[in-house]
Amino acid sequence: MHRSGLLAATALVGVALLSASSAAPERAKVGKKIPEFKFESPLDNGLGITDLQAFRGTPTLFEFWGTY
Amino acid sequence: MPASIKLQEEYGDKVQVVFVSVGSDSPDQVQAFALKKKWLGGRAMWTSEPPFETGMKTIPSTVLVSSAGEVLFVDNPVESKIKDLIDEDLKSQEKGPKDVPDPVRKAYAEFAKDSWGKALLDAQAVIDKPPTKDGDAAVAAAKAALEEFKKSIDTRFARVDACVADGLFDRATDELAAIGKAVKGDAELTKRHADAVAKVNGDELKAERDAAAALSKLEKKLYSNGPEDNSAKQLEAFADKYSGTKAGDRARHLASLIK
Repeated sequence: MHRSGLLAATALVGVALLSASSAAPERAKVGKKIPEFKFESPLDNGLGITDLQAFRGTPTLFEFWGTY
Repeated sequence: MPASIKLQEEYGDKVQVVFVSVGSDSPDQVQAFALKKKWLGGRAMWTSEPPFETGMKTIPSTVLVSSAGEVLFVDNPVESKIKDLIDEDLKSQEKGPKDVPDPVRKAYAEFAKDSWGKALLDAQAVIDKPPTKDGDAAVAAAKAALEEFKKSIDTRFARVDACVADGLFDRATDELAAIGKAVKGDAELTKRHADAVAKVNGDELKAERDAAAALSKLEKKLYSNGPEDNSAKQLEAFADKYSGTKAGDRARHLASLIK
């Protein structure tokens, strides 16, 4: 009984860790600070930028688009 | 999309535009698409990693973030509204943040005008001779301002290094010209700038610089006309001739996008 409880708890912790590591980006909300985010790859034409905080000091427009 | 490309051109380095592609296309497919549309070649940046959710169900959608990192606008693009918000943000930068004492606010305002030397002097003056009223708060704000200015200055110099690392010598030169104006009045920063200029123009980087200058002509034509029948061949020939340079690598990559 104790063992199955421990297994279940371990599985829950595993699921929680997995969720945390693949967490979706936060929602951008007007009036709030931009969430922290690190890009896995430097931005194209971005002079090595990998961190959202690098845009501090410059108004920045993000345009979400697709090729379809 | 073209409106944001134009906006980037219009505001130059006062504003940054970042295109975030959504969907299943690889970064190279996205670049190839943008190249065909003649959208490349400017200062806009590109990524396929959404840094946040917009909550929008349609594209294009836009998120405008202020210079202080606050979200100002989330919606489908409305050019006039976006420009108004940008202009307002740039104006408030010139005035300095509202929540700091006036003498420190002045330092922020100088920094926003790219008078780094004056901004550093103004902030240091508050620390050296605090105002009689609320002196401690003014000193703390001035110290925070100095730290923020130094971080921003480091970022600007790092951009020059990044340009050189990517073989983008035109941009490195533009950055250095802007930094050169901003550092006036500060001996230490003036020396740092002079060292950076000497490095970018030094003999060690001559081969990279020559290759970059040669590719720049091909790139200008490519970005303005879009890919033409002979573009891929020209770029590959360039890559062979300038093999081992950053510009050679970039030419090879551009050729692969066109094929």
